[in-house]
Amino acid sequence: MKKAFISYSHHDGDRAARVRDALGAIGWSAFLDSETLPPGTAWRKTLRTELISSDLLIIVLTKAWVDSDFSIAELDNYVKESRRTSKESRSVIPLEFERATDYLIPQLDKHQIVQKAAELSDHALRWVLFCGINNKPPGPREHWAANGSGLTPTVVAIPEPPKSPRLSAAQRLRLESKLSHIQSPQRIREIAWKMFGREVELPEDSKIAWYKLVKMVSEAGLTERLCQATDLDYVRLFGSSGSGEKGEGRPTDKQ
Amino acid sequence: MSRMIGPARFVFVVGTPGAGKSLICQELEKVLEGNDFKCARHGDYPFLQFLYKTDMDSECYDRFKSDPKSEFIVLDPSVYDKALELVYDNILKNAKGSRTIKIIEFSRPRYDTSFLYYTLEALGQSLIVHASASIQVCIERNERRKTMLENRLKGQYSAEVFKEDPDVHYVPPSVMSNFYAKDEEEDARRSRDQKLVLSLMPARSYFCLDNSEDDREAFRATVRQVAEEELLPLFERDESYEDYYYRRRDQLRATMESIAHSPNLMQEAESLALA
Repeated sequence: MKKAFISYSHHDGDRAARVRDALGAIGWSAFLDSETLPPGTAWRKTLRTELISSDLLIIVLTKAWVDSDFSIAELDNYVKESRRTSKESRSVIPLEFERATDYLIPQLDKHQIVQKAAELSDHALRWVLFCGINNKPPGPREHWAANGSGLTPTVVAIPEPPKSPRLSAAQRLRLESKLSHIQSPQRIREIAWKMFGREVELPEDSKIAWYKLVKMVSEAGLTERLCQATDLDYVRLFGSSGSGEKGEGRPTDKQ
Repeated sequence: MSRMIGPARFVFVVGTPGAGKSLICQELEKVLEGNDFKCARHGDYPFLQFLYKTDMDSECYDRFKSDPKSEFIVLDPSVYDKALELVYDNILKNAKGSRTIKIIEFSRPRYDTSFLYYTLEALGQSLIVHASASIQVCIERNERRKTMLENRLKGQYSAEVFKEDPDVHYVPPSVMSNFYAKDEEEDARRSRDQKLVLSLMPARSYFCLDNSEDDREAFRATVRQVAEEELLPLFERDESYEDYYYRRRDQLRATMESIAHSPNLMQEAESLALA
């Protein structure tokens, strides 16, 4: 299931919950800090890792959100991380629940803002999120609710990419060598989080950390996803998994 | 219920200089640490050095000769076994109950007497990994190391300079020829003897990895595969004596077959038959 991060001010908890429900109705899970973080968690680190591992950022845009420095920092982090990867689905959808565009937020300038979101029905909200996620024109506003009522998770759920075949020892070594330029333990942990959606205990030594992570990724069939997250060309490295084309060596089903 | 033997705790990595011992150690460390083991790497050189210094302090000159280039030259080969005794006393004996896997790297022309001081218990917890390559290949690799080390000293850093391991030790061809093997024939015989002797040691396991081809990455992949599939299970869990016996029996059979079918031995047999 794809995951969205909802950035909101705690004054707007109810609005964030509405967005979460709308996402759930179209087959997406949502991270809401107040609901997901166990009390006492080291929230700053977890929040950052959740944020950068999400496929979508939704902003509950209100005056309170604009006034919060932390919210802007969230947006900055997300945009910075998106630049590091070529993930097409990493988009930002600002939902303007309160008139807040008078404030200067350069990071939001290039994103189409959904205005008067507070006036949208649940179905209309669902439709507008669906269009934002799938890069689809939403059409006339008066049709949004009707369009949204026909959406169900089974209709819109984006299928998970097929599992990549397990890599042989030689193929893992090749992938590790391609990834060896990434040496920051924090960065490797973030990539691990993206792969598994949870914290993975990794050694500080980057060589050993990559060994462990690549092995786990290979066993979980997530090699293609790791290549996407690190801007590597999977097909060039291993060949297309389904087409029979050969790259430098196709992953083997053996093992 | 069959009796069990505890998990392996020591790995001896042996082979001629240039055969790939350091690469094996590096890959083994990566696999072990990546699977949540702690490991420590040792060699016999500090113990040889200790023996040399002790001899010099006590003005005893019959086992070592000082040398300005290499610190010392060994006159009495028995010190090599003495150094391995110190390895046992200082590393294996003290490691009882330790969860750290000790990797011990050393090189000898023959291994007949290397482990005589070792108890069966210690050998039962030890794996022997043997890097094998012909003397000519090893000499060539050592010469490449020399060039690389010289370039490093001159400050000529190129991508090539760092392709090899940072812990390279250069062994000159004269030492290789005198200490290890004079010619290919002697080398082939020595290699066969080494495999035979090491495979017959009452160690937990013996693996001979051939590194004759000049393809580092392919050899690294082989080492990784062996480390993950063959060695790791021996560190992770106990083994019944029955399984131990059958595994070693199969290994021994495979080694004997590889020796029996080695091209040099076939040639020798043919020449004997002709004579």
